[in-house]
Amino acid sequence: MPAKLFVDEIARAWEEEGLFARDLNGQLIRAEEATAKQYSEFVTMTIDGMPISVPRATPAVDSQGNIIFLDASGRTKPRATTILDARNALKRQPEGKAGSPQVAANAESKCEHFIPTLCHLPHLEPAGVCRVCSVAVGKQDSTGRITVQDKLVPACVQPVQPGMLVYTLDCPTAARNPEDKSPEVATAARSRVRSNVKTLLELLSADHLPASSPTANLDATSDLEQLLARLQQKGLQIERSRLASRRVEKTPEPSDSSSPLIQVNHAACILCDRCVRSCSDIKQNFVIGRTGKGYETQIGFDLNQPMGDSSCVECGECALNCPTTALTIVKPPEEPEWWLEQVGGTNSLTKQRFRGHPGKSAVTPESLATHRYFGQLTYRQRQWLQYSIVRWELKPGEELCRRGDYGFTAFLLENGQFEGWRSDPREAEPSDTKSSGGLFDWLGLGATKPKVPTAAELGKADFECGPEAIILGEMTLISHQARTATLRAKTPCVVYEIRRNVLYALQRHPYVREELDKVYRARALRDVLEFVGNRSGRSLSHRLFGELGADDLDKCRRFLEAASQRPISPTNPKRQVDLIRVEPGQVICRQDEVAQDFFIIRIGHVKVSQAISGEDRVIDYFRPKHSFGEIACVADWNEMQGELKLQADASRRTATCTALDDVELIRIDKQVFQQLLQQVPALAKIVLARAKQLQTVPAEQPKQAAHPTTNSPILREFTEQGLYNAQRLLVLDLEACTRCDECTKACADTHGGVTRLIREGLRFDKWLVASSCRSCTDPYCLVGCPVDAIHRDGERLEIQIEKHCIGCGLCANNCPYGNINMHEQQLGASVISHTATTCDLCHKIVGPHEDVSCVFACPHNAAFRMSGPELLGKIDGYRAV
Amino acid sequence: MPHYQGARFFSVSGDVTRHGVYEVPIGITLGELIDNYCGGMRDGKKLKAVATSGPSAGFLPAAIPLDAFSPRVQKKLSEHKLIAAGEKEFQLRRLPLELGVVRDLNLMLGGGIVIYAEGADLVDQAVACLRFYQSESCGKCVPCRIGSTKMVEIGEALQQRQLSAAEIEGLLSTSGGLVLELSQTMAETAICGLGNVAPNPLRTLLSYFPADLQPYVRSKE
Repeated sequence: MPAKLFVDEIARAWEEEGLFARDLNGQLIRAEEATAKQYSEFVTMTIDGMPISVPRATPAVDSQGNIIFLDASGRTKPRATTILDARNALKRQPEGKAGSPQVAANAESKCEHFIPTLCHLPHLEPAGVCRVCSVAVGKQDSTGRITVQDKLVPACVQPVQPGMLVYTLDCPTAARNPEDKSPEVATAARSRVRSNVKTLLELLSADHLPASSPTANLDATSDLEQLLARLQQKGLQIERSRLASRRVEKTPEPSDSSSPLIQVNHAACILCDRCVRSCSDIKQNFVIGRTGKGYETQIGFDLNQPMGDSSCVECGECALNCPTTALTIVKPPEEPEWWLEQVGGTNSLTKQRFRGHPGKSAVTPESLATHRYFGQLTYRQRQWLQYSIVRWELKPGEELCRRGDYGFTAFLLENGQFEGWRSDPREAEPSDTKSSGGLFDWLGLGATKPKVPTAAELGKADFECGPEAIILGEMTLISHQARTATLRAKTPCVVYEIRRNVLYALQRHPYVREELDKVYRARALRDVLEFVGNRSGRSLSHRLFGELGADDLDKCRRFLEAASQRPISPTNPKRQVDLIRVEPGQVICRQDEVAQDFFIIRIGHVKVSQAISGEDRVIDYFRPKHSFGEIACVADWNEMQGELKLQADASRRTATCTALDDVELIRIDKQVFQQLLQQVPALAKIVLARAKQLQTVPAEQPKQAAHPTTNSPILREFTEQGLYNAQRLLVLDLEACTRCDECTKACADTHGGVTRLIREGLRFDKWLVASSCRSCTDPYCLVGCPVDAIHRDGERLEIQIEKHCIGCGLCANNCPYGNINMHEQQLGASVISHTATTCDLCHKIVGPHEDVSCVFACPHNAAFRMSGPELLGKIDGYRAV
Repeated sequence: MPHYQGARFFSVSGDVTRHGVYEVPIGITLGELIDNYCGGMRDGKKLKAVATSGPSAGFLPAAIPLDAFSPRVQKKLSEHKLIAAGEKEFQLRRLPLELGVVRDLNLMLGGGIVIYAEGADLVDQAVACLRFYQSESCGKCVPCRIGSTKMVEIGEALQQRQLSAAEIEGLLSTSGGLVLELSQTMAETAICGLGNVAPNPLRTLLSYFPADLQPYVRSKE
């Protein structure tokens, strides 16, 4: 029986204007960029009859789920809220504030309001090309009549509009409440969405899927297969081969195995654009694009070259996100050396044998599938990362990590108990070579002694932890700091040792990210409060807490730890003591602002500048562990007024503090800080003494302003050149240097003929800061390496680049000083690969306290390695503040 | 009084004596365009079908039975005095070439009009139109990229006499008719208008020209 198709149905969904094409004033809505103002404009709509209110715009996030900041003042990039966002908000609602009847109804209903997605991924700019997220939208007029738009809209890109009635394929067919007069409308909309999604899936499976469903485990199959299976469960009755499959074409090679890590099968590609966006937007490689047009469209590498011949760097991002079998991960020809060293075995290419580390074993994507965190990763991610994860069974007494090590792995705890020490005798041991003087002691570069101290030597453990701690050693990965504790197994333990790229992948998952973030914040907070108790040779005495006795310190710590759990007031959710992260260039506090908080810097550097007669002057910079803002916090405090006759505006900030790099701060609320002073009178006394000391300064200040010291220009240069961050600068005294280039030659001679230093660079006073790795305290180069080939290891400062570097150039781009060089390497007949090199402080040829080749080779005693602050101290005319 | 006034251009092609581009006052009827501007039908043949918006609106038969319109449009037809009381068919020649009326009737009117006379093979024409949409598809969205190709393949199967009478009839069946479902999905989910209208030539052919399909039915061997 042919359908009764009315002639006038031809123009359906064609001439009709969309229901939401006009605003309340009848003006056509234009596709305009979302604005920050829309963060606070709320839109009320319904999804399958459930009301939901969402802001019109939300801040855009990057692939790690971090909000993207556009500038230093914290401006964010608004992104229009889509129907899919609203659906996700609706499903999250029950976890929020309970009580309202709607929320209760939501929690009760089993309805998923499922919106299938294929081309969309939360961290990518939506493309809206696969159309499987299509939903029906309707509008109710003043008489209560509901009109549903003929054309469906893609939920991943369609912005929300007030009064929108959204119908998903899960829309309940029975009316939820008796006054609801729209069950027929809902039923019709639901079946329309279902039939369209079914047809779309049939189109995709006819062309791109095999005729039979996969028999292997669903977990390992592509996203498309998984979506199809899920929709079948919902009763869509998709027939995989109802439509004729794709005719074989004359295209030369549908499959491309030219890349050693990724197999390309063009026939399976649905052109969802995920790889293109991953390659260009996420990794900024701009290799993958589309070629051809219409039905002949394909993805192409560069100018449609085979993947292996293109400029692809094999970062793997495309294959990890591919929802089909078009881009799949194959076993690499050669296993990474680190992995072989851990688990043992034979390198498939070089046949080199490795013994492995006792207790450590390899993992497979299948063995990780049920793990509470790794299980959240996709099969592809587990497959890609399997060489960066090692399972480790520890016997009691075995050491997991030691304090002071840089390390490049973290440990996810499975079971067993660990004991931890916050000090390690190995760390305090004097260095055996005195050639480099105090510098190395200060940097904690004491010589490594093979002798491992016994438990008795370590003394009583400072703490104990079990699986509830979730992860250990993550701070080293996240903030590139040395390990803060020595850990040993107390009972038999099992951990997963993971590298940085695994942690990045885990952080992409919102649930894991939240869990890890909680642990990290709590630890970071405790770690800063801990510094007071630990005054070993390495940490400098703190100017406030450093003078306190052990009892008072303990009191401070306990007070602050308790306060970090509490909100400021029932109405203000801001915590009394909190860990905050600040982006480079972001302002922490502004001059002349009324102070609200006291800060302790945990990581990073802060520039202090003052506007004096309209000119912005850098007056100082703060290093980690420094605290600031205490005087302004107590200035308006009556308790102190008796002794302190501060001026009325003393509670205002005297200078602007700006983050120079990624800064983590402990923020202590003003009121809480005052409470702390009451609890610990000794601290109050110190603060008072400092305040009195400063009281005399204001009188002198005008004079100072009239005759500024040379500090300001020096400090400005110092901060602008990023020297504060440097630990091992190569500096040449230009008054002694004859430009003989012996340093460069020595470097080339010791590094296979390719120099890693260039005798060029910015000048700082009479010093040339040569282009050679500076060993930054916060190395930018380590961030984001897709294969985790670049890291710092052991106690040494040098940045090492391992052999499995794929030459993507990310680290070289990340280094603000241009100190990482990319070199071409001939591999086989035609393949040219790139690899990154940087100064390794000659770690293979000289001991930790000997001069590196460039310094050693200088015949004029003009080359030195020193830290930024040391260099600053050598400048004539600089007076430490 | 027409809603729109002035003149507009039409590009007329197909079985007319003088095909070409004509500037005509808005509101003249299709019949007037054919007879007064294009010199009437070629060789005095009878009008069979018209593509009123290029191939985008598909093919409309010269005489459309009233019950082929939805009740709402039937009422509109009499409101616009396009049918007299008692008439059972709407003569397409009487269609005013004015957007106000055409939109009211929920039909489509473009700048290119193709006239088909008696004897034109609409199966061949439809397949040619489908190929046009297939090659114009940019390939961005799934319904248009794959759907337009599947449409061509169905059209070609029909053209090559591979389908039985029952199979042809089943293409528009409400219970899983392939062309019906595909054209619905393309119309409702494709990103742009090209994907929305791409199935129309085949859909209108199957709906309104059963006689043209007869020679293409697979013979029972």
